[in-house]
Amino acid sequence: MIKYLKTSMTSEPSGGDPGPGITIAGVRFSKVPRVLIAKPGLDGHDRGAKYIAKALRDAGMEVIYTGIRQSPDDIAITAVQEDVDVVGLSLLSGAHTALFPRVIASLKKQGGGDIPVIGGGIIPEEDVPDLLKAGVGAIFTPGTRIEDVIAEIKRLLEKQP
Amino acid sequence: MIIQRTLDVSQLTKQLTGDSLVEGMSDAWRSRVRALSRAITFLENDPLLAMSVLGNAQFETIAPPSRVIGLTGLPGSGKSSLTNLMVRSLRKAGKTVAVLAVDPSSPLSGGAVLGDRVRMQEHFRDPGVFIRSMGSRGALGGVARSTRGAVRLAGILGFDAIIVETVGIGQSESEIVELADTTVLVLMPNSGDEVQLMKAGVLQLADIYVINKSDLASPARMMNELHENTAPSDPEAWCPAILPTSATNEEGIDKLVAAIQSHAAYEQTHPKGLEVRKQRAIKEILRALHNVIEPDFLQAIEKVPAEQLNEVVAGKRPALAIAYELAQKFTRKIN
Repeated sequence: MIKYLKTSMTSEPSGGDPGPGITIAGVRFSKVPRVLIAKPGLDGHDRGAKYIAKALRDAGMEVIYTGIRQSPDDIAITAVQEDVDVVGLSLLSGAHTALFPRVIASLKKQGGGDIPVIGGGIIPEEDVPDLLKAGVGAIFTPGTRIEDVIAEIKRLLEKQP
Repeated sequence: MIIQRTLDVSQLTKQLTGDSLVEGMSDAWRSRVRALSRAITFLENDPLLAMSVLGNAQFETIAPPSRVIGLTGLPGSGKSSLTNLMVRSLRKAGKTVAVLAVDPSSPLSGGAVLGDRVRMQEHFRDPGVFIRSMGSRGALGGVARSTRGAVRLAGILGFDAIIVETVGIGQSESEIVELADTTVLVLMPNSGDEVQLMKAGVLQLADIYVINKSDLASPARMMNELHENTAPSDPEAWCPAILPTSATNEEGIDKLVAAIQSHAAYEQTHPKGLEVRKQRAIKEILRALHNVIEPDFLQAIEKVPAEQLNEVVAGKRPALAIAYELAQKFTRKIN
């Protein structure tokens, strides 16, 4: 059962209790992390994406799943409307060097430039440095243990302001 | 798993109304949608802080009230597919739509897989459609605690219609009826005999009954039995519409949307409709009061002496006695 999350305020309003219309500048609040798992481009192999989705659910995250064959704009708009803390892209078609940067560009356009993007799938080691340079936060290649994926996502989530 | 985030609430309220733009954004509508999604997250994680956003009186004047449509029914009955088609129909009529789709949270980990969106992919890039998935987060009424707040927030952006899709439900999860202006219950042909339909609960409460998957089996018997069990004795009361649909074949959707519109017209013009809306407002206040006060009660319970608690465990003291004592302390405070 989920417990009530207690919110702490960095700038306490004068009365202590946030009443109607009171202006609060910086509210620090606790939240359940939300993750988008998306499959960009023409790739229908979603076993891996669904496996990751279930594993993240069991790690206590809310996972939004878009389904297959999504355009970079579809993914960016979904990420913004769902207000996720991280976007995970799964791609097995080989088009990652083209599609991952496009998702990042589209996110910026939609007002989600602050949302980190990570990726996984069949990605050759030699492509990894370029993807990281293009702004991808982490890349998981075949054979990565699920515990390591979760640990890396947790690290990314806790790093954000 | 819990993480920490910071939010500037006063900035956010300005962004919701469009008085200021989200940093780095030039498109006014996109910026308001970004603010809406951030505001819903804030409410989801602490419904008590809803007042600091929703208490802003300025919101009341900027948009006419949105029509709130609740869609509920059995798991797998086709709620998301019907939502998708209703959004399409409303968009064709030039209406803007927000969808709040609730899926169950895991009672074990607190996590969730929210997958209603998969059925609505055709609307992702339409700026007139906002879709938000919500985890139920332990609430058992078919919607999350913060769903009502999310409806109010979406209302600030002036969507013509707000569709709330509940968790797949059984018989008694009826909170949606308090929240929606029009409640649609989605059933299937053969989803029960007459005795099932005679039972109380959400089956008595919907404004429109839809028998989806009517392409798979004849809905005729179900429609007859539903009619017998839901027709009101009062000739002035709203007589629920009973409609067959097939989301797969895209049949019956325009009739469903038309029924929702005639229910809206009934509620807005008929004196009985006004009374229904008043009752709903009272329930909304009661529910909000419950949400506001619960954390205080939880704190009070934590302060109950251990020996008293042990007596309750041992069956020597009724829990009601302790509850009554605590409640009296609180009512004294209020008076």
